Amino acid sequence: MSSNMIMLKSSDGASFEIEEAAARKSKIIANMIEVECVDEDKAIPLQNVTGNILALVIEYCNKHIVDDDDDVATEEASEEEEEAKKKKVDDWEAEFMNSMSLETMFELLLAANYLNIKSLIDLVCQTIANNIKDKTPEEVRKIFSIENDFTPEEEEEIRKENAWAFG
Amino acid sequence: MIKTEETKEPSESPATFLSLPDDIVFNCLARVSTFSRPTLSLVSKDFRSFNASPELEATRSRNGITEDYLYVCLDLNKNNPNPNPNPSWFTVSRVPKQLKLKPIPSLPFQHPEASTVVSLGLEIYIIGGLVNGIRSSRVFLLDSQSHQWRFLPNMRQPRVTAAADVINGKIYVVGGCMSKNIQDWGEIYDPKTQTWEPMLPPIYLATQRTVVPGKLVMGGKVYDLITDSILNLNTNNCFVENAFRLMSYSHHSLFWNDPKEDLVWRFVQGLEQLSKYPNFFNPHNSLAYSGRGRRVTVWWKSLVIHSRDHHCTEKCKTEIWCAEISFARRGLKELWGSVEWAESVFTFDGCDPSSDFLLHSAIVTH
Repeated sequence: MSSNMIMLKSSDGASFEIEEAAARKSKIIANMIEVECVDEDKAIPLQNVTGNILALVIEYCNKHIVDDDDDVATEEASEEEEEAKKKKVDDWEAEFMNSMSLETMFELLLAANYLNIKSLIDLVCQTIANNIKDKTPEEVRKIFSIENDFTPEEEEEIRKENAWAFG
Repeated sequence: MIKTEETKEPSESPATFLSLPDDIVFNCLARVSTFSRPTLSLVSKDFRSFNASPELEATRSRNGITEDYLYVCLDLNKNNPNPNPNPSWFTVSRVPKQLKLKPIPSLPFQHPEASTVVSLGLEIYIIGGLVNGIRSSRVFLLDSQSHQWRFLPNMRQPRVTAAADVINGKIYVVGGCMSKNIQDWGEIYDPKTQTWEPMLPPIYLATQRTVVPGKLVMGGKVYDLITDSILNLNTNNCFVENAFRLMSYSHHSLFWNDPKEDLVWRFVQGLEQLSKYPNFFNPHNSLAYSGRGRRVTVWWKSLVIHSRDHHCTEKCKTEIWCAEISFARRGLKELWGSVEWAESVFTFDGCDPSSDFLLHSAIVTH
């Protein structure tokens, strides 16, 4: 099966070729394709996404378009196969997010938000959540470079409100 | 210094967590355990407002984010001169680096002894029991979100140590009553109509009695059948995932049995670690299995003595310890346990050696 290829152009002028089916993971691009009848020669300009982030987005979309195809094709797949497939995707996502810097995650989130790719937003948010779970307030401040703007009295007040957690 | 213009240079300053759109920040924070909220509120004023916002809960439910909450009912500090007349309810809560018991308002009525507890949906039901030595048909409900208690319609029969289970969204309650009539054996509560109906014919029972010969298994609990309606709960037993029985026989070990194979109790391998933890009182640990998933927690007490004189009641503390254990079958004859964590979760002043402090447990997901 041959698939339509389309071009995406990043804010810093880099052009990327992507299968239309993969690009449709983005609701915004899907909408552009519907409304503006994008042809192969003309790249879709994405003003808010730089090339290095767009490359990550495309990597994610390419990987997940395969999964969507599989879902349709294998209705009678056994439970074990389903589980193995899910594990494969989970492993790929873990690898994809692994060693990505926090700054890159934030930019990827902004891009996924702009392009409206819900599953990618959720994946990055979950990774950030995993980064801060089971961390002390000091550790969370360090991770996000946040200043403590409470007075000692205000801090004491919060501790008192939740005495069970800090006792 | 002259700034060199790179092709990839973004035009704006680098993004920070709190500069992300609010719905993204909520999406991240909603994925962290609700027990972390007090800690996250301490990070900064902005974090505090995000954690206090109703939008956080809304984001959680919009994204289908849920968490399992283990509720336990503990009878604490019986030796205290002014004991709380009612046992205390808690959720087992993972705050950073440690486990804590988060208190829940106690039942505002007298706690029925030897009652039965099940969870259904977002609610925990306390069924029957003894009030002032009298068999009760009362049913209480704890709403796991508001932590409010309320009455439900009474059962048709007063019942003590009844067996109960949730099947297809209804609560089946069996035994524990004085009546000899077969139609009083069991009854079924439908939360939609809020009514109790007699369980007729008691077909469900017949199948449950064959799970372990001579015993009745309901809601992960194992009962002896003294008579057709009088049940005796095996407190150191539980039935896990409709697959095997566990028995706590001493502090250091667990035994297991697969009634589909035979009735032989075998040693659970791999739990040597348990003997490392302090334990001074309990001949065996209490088991909490809530009839769902693979989560089995074991509970025991330990005593911390602070003075060297013999007036230990004045100078010592009692610690409640809890460990979560997961299991893996290896062939037909081996069950391996693995201690996921073991921690002291609660401490109170005074020396209370009673080992039957774990009264009830239930898991609610929301």
